[in-house]
Amino acid sequence: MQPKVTAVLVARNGDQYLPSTIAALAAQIRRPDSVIFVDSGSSDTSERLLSDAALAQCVTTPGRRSFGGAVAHALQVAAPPAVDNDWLWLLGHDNAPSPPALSALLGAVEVAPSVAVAGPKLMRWDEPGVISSFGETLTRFGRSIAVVTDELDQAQFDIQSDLLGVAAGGMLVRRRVFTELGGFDPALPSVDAALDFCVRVRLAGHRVVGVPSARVSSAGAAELFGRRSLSAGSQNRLHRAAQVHRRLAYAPALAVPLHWLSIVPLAILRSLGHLAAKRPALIGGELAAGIAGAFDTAVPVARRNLRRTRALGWRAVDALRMPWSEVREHRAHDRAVSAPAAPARVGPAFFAGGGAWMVLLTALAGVIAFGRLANATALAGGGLTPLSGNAAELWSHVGYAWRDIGPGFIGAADPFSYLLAVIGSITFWSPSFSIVALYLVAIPLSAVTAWCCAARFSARPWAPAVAALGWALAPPLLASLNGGHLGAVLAHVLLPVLVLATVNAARSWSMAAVAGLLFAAVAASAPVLVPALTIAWLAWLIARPKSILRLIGIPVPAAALFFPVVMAQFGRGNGVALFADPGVPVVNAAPSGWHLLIGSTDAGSAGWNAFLVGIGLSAVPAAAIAAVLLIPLAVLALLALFLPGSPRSIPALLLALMGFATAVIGTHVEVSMVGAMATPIWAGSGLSLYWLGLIGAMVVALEALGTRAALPAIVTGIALALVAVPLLSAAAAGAIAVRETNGRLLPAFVSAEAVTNPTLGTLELAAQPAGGVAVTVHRGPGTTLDEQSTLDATDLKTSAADLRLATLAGNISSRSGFDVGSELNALQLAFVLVPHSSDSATGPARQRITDALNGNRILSPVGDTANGYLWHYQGITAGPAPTGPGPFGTPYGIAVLVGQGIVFALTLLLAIPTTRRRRLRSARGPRGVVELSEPEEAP
Amino acid sequence: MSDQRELPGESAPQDDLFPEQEVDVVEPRTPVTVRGVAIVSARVMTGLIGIGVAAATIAASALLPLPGIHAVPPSTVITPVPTAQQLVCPGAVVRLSDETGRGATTVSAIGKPDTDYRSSAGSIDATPLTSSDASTGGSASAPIVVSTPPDPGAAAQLLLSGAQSQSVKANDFVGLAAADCGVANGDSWLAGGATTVGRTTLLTLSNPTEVAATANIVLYGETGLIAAPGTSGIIVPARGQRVLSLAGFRPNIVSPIVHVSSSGGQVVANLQESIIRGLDAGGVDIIGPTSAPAASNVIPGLLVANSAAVQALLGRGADYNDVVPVLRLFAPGTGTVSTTINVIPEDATAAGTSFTYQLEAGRVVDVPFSDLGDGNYTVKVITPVPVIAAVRVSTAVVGGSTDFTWLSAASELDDHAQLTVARGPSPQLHLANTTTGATTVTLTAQDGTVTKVALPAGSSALAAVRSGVTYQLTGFDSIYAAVTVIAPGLIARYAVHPPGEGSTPVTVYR
Repeated sequence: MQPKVTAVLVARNGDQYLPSTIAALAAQIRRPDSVIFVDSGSSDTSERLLSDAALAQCVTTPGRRSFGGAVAHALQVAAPPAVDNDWLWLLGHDNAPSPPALSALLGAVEVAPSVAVAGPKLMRWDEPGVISSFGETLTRFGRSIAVVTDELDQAQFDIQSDLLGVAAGGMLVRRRVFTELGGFDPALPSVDAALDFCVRVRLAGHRVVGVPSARVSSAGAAELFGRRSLSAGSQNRLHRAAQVHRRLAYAPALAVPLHWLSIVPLAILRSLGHLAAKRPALIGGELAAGIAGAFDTAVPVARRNLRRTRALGWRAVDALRMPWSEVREHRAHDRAVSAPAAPARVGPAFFAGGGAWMVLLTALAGVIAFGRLANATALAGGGLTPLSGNAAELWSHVGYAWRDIGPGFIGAADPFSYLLAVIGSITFWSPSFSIVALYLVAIPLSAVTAWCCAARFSARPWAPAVAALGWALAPPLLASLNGGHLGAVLAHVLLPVLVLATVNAARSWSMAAVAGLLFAAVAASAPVLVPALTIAWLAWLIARPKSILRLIGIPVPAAALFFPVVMAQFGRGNGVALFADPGVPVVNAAPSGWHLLIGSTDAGSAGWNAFLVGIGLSAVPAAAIAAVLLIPLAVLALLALFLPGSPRSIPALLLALMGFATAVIGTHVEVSMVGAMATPIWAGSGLSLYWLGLIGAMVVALEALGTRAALPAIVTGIALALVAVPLLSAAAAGAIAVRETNGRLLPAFVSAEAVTNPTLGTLELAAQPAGGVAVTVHRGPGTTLDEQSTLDATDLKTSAADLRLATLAGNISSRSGFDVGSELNALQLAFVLVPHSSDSATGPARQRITDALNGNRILSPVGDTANGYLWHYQGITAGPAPTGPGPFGTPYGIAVLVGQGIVFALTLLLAIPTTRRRRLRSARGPRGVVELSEPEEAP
Repeated sequence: MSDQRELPGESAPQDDLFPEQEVDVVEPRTPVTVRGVAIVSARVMTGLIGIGVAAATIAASALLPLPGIHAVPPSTVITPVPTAQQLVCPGAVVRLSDETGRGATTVSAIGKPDTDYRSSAGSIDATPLTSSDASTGGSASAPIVVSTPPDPGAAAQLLLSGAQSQSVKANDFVGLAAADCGVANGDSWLAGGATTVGRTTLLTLSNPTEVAATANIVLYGETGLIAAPGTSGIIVPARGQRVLSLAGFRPNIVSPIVHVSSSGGQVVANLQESIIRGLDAGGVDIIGPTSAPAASNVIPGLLVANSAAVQALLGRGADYNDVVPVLRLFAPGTGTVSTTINVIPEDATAAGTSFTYQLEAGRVVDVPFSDLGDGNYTVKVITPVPVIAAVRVSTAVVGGSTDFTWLSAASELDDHAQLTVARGPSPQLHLANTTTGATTVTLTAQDGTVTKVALPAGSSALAAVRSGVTYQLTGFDSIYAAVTVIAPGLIARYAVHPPGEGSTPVTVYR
C-alpha cells in the first residue's frame, strides 16, 4: 500500500525563512499527500505568508504553542482521517527540505517496517555545507548530546542509520505510533522534546533511523525555534530543566525520591562549578531549573505515559547511548572550536625587557635599607608591633567579638586584621616574621607589580623599567616603611596590580574577581583611599558599559569586609572615623601642601632635611633639592597630555589629582587618638596614589616618545633613584621608628608570667603633656598588631569600663585612699608599666605617677625594663578577667563571619584561573586531548 | 600640503604623514587633514588645561586654609579618693660628733625642736621615724611623721601643715633654725650650705613611706658638676632617716647645690648648715627644698635686719665674708643665661633694686646683694631657661650672736593653702603677689580669727601672725608666701608649700 504523508509545517515568527521553506516543500520530488500549515502565535507576517501560499490547510493555534503542541493541535483540528500506512512529516519554518528529502526518508522507512521514525540530516541555514544536527543521543548519565554539531559535511557520517533520537525538524514519523505515544511530552517545550519522543519510540519497540541522503536546512537548535536569540543562561536553564524532567520521568520508581532530593543540592554544586569555570551568567538559570524541577508536576503524567507505551527494557536504549570516550572527544572538539584566539598584543618581556634588572636593582636597595633586619623575629616601633604568636590566634581576632584592647569591648574587627591574619598565616610558625619578610621584599615587590602594570600599557621596555624603579623607590613607600605604616606599605605594593586587574576585568571574570580581592586588600590597608578608588571605579564602569556586569562586583568583597565596622561607626555617628589608619595609632606630623607635592609625608622634605644636616650641608634648602629631582617626572607626566595617548594620560593624572587631594584632606582629618593627642591620617597612602598617577602619566609619555624615550627615561630614572637616597640611608643607618625586636610586647618578666596565666593584665600609664595620664590595659603577653582596633582608637565617648579604668588610673597615679588592690584584683591586673618617653613635657606627670607607684606599699618595683618602669602587684588572687564572646559567640558575629566567608569563597572561586593556557604538546595522540578535558560539563 | 605649515621641521619624504608615525603605536596613522590638525589642537588644549588644573590644585593645597576635622580625645578628670596625708618634719639639729665634741664619725642630735601641726579636718597622728643615723629613732628628736587618716567623707581637699623651730645654744651651735614639714617626693633640689673650713653642711634624708628608698644625689658647685663616690644608691630604710655630710663627698665647696632623686620609697630631703668662725659660732639653719628649675623664681621673706652690725662683722676678716646677703644661682646646661633680678621691698620704707646678671650655666654662682638697707624684700629671678635660685641672709648683734638663714624659692600657691607658724620670736608672714592683678588674701586662724591682707599687683605685704598657730589662706589665684622668725642675732625663715601634689585631680585619657 502506498504510504500517505501528511506534512505539518509549524511557523512562529519565521517570515524570513518561510518563503524558501514553502518553495522547497513545493519542489519535492515526492510531494506530501497533504500539507497542514500551523501558525503558532506569530507576531510577524508568517501567518499571511502561510495563507498566501495556499498550498494547504492553514491552522492557527490559540496563543503560542511549543513545536510539539502546535503539531498536536494541527492534527486535532485539521488532519485527514488516519489510515494504516499514514506518516507525518514534521517541519519547522526554517526546515527547507532538499528536493529529494521526502523520497529519501520514505525510501528508508519502506524497506524496514520496524522503523517508526526517520530523521534527515539537518544542514545549517547559513552554511548549507555544514551539518547542524544529525542524530541525538544520551550519555550514560542521561544527559542529551548531539551526535554531530557544526561539522563540515564530507559524507563522513553517511554510514550511520540507527540512532537513539533525531531532531524534531524534518522528522518523518508513523502517525499511528505518534498518536499511541501521545506525541511530544508537553513538559518538554523545546529542548529534548524530540529526543524524549524517540526514546519512547525505541522503548515501544520501534526503530529510529537517520537518513543521510535526506537533507533539510535548520536555522538553529530546537530551543531557538521562534526566537531571534537566546542568552547562555536561558539556554542552560532549558537544558537543565529538560534533563531534570527526563531524569525523574525515566528513573525507576524507587530511585525517584533520591533523584528528587538531589535536584537542589546538585543545582548549587553545579552553580559553584560554573563560578569556578568563569560562567557566572549560567548560575541563575541553573538554580531556577533546579527549583522548577523540584516542583515539576508533569512528572507523574510523563511516567504514566511511558509505563503505558513501554514494551522493551532500557537495554534497548543503552546500546545507543554515547560511550564516555566519545563524549570526551566531543567536548575536546567543542573546546577547540570555541577557544578564543590568543591575544595578539605583544608587550615587553620581563627578562628581555629589563624588568628583571630593575627588580634586582631595587632588591639591592631593599637589602641596603632593611637587610640589617633580616635576622629579626619581629619588628616594632612606629605603627608596628608584633603579631600574635600563632595563626590560630590571628584568626581568632577577626569578626565581631570581644576586642582585648584597653578595658576591652565587643565590636567588629578592623578589615586590616583579616589581611594580617592572611599575611601572618603565610609564616604560620612565627606570624611576626611575615612582617619582617615583607620589609625585606616590599621594595623589589613594588618594582615587580609596577613593572607588570606598566608593561600592560607599553610596547617598549623603557617605560616599565623606569616605572618599576620610580614606584619601588617612591618616597611615600619608603616613608611608610620607615614609620611602620604597614597598611600604607601594603596598599603601595598592591595598587599597580589593582589597576592591572581592574583594567583586565573588563574582559575577564577571573580578573574581575582578582580586582575585587585586591580592592578589598587595599581598602583594608588604607581606608582613606576608598573614596578616590571608588570614584575611579565608577568612572571605569561608565567608560566600559558593556562590561558592567563584570566590573560592578569589584567593591563587593571590600563592602563585606567593611560592613560591620561601617555599621559600628555610623551607629556612633562618627562615620569619618572609618578612614582612620589601621594598626598602632601613632602621632603623625601634618606636612604642608608644598611638602605633599614633593611626596614628603612630613615636613622633612622626604628625608632631605635630616640627610643634608647629616652630611654637613644644613645651609642647602632641602625641599628645593627634592623638588629639582622630581622635575623630570613632573615634566613627563604633564607632557603626556600633549602627546598621543590622552585616553590613558588623563585618567592617570586624574588619579594623581585624587591621590594628592586624599593626602591633603587626610592631613586635616584627625580621627585617631593617641593619649591626649589626635593624629591626622597618614599622608603616605594618598601620596602613593598620587605617585601612581604621576608614574602612569610618565609611562604614557615615554610610550608616546617611542624610540626617543631613552634619554628622558634615563634622566627620570636617575632622578627618581636619587630622590630616595635620604630615606634609604636613614633606614640603613637605623635612624627610623621601626626597629628589630624579640617579639615581646611587654617586659620579659610579664611575658614569663603570661605564659602560665595568659589572662593577667598589665596596666599601662603613659604620662601626657600638661599633667595628664593615658591609660590602657594589655592582657597576657600584650596587645598585638592584629588586636589593634580603629573602633577603639577613634572612640569619642567614655564608656563605663573606660571610666572604671580611668578611676583606677587616676587613683593609682596619686596618693589616694582608693582601694587599689581590690580593683587590680577585680580587673586581674598584676603589673603596672610606665613607658619611657622622650618628651620633656610629660616630665611632671611622669614624676607624679612614679612617685605614687613607688609610694604604694602593695606594688613592688621590678625596675627599669626595655619597655618602661615596671611594678608588680603580688597580692593578686586568681580570678576571671573581663572577657566576652569569641567570633562565633554571638548570632551577629556568626552572621558576619558566614556572610563574609560566603562572599570571599565565591570571589576566590571566581578568581582561580580555570581556563587553561594552551600548551604546545608533542604528538601523543588522544592522550594530550584527554588531559585538556575538564571534569565540568559544558553548558 | 597643509601639514607642512604645522610641522615645518619635518623632512620632505614624510610630509604627508604625521611625523610621529614611526613611534605612535596607539593611534593609527592618518594623513594630515583638517582632522589631524584638530587632534593636535585638542592635545595642546588638553595639555594646557592639565597644567592649569595642576597649578590650581597646587595653589589651593598650599595657600588655601582648609577646614579640618579634629577629634577631641575623651578624657575624665579623676579626683583621687582622699587619703592619709603625710608630712615629715626634719627633726632636731644634728651634728657630726657626740655630745662631748668627739667621735667625728658619729652623728648625734642636739635637743629637740618645737613642732606644731594641724589638719583642716579630722584627727592627726604624729609618730617619730623609727630609725636614724643620729640614733634618735623613735624619740622626740627624730623627724616626726605627721599624718591624717583618710577622710572619704570630706568633699574638700584635706589640708595639713606643720612647722618646727629650734633655738640652739650648745657649744659651737648657736642660732635659730625653723623649717616646715614637707611632703615626701622623689625629686628635690636643695640650694644652700658650704663645705669650706668652719662650715658644716649635712644632708638629711627622711623616708616616711613603708618601702625603702634608693636615693641618688647629684652635687653641683662653683666648678660645676661634682663627681664623687657614694652619691648613688643611698638606701634610706622605710620610716628611717639618713644623715650625710656634704664634706664627705667633697670638702671646700663654696656654693653647693644638691639634687636628690629617689626611687622605691620617697624622701624628704633637707640640708642643715652650721658655721663656726674661729671660736665664734656663726649660726645654724635648716634648709628646705627649693623650687625645681624654673624660669621664674620668687623668694619672698628676705628680711634684712641690723645691717649695720653685719657690715661691722665684715671688718673682722675674710672668714666673715659670707655674712653678706647673696643670691645663689644655678642654670643646668651650658651657655650664658641673662638673668634679671628684682629685689622688691615690702613697703615704701626700703628701696629695692633691679639688675641683670650674665649667669654662666653649669656652675653655681653666688651673686652678692650689696647695699640692701634694713627692710623686708621679695626677690624675683627671671631667666629665659629654668634655673635654681636661693638667697642667704645674715643678722648679727654687735658683740653678740650671729645667725643666718637660707631662703629657698617658694612654690606658687594657687587657690588655697594652709601654713603653720613655727614657734619663735616675732613671727611674720610674707606674701608676694607677682601677678598683674590685685588680690586679697584671707587668713583664717585655727581659732577662727580672720585677717585680710590686700596685695596690689606686683607687690609684697606682711601679715602679723601668732607663734605656733595654723592659718588657712584663701581668696587668691597666685601668691607666694614665707614665714620668718627673728630676734636680735637670731633669724630663721621657711617658705610655705602648696597642699600635697599627689592628691590633686588628674586628667586621664583613654
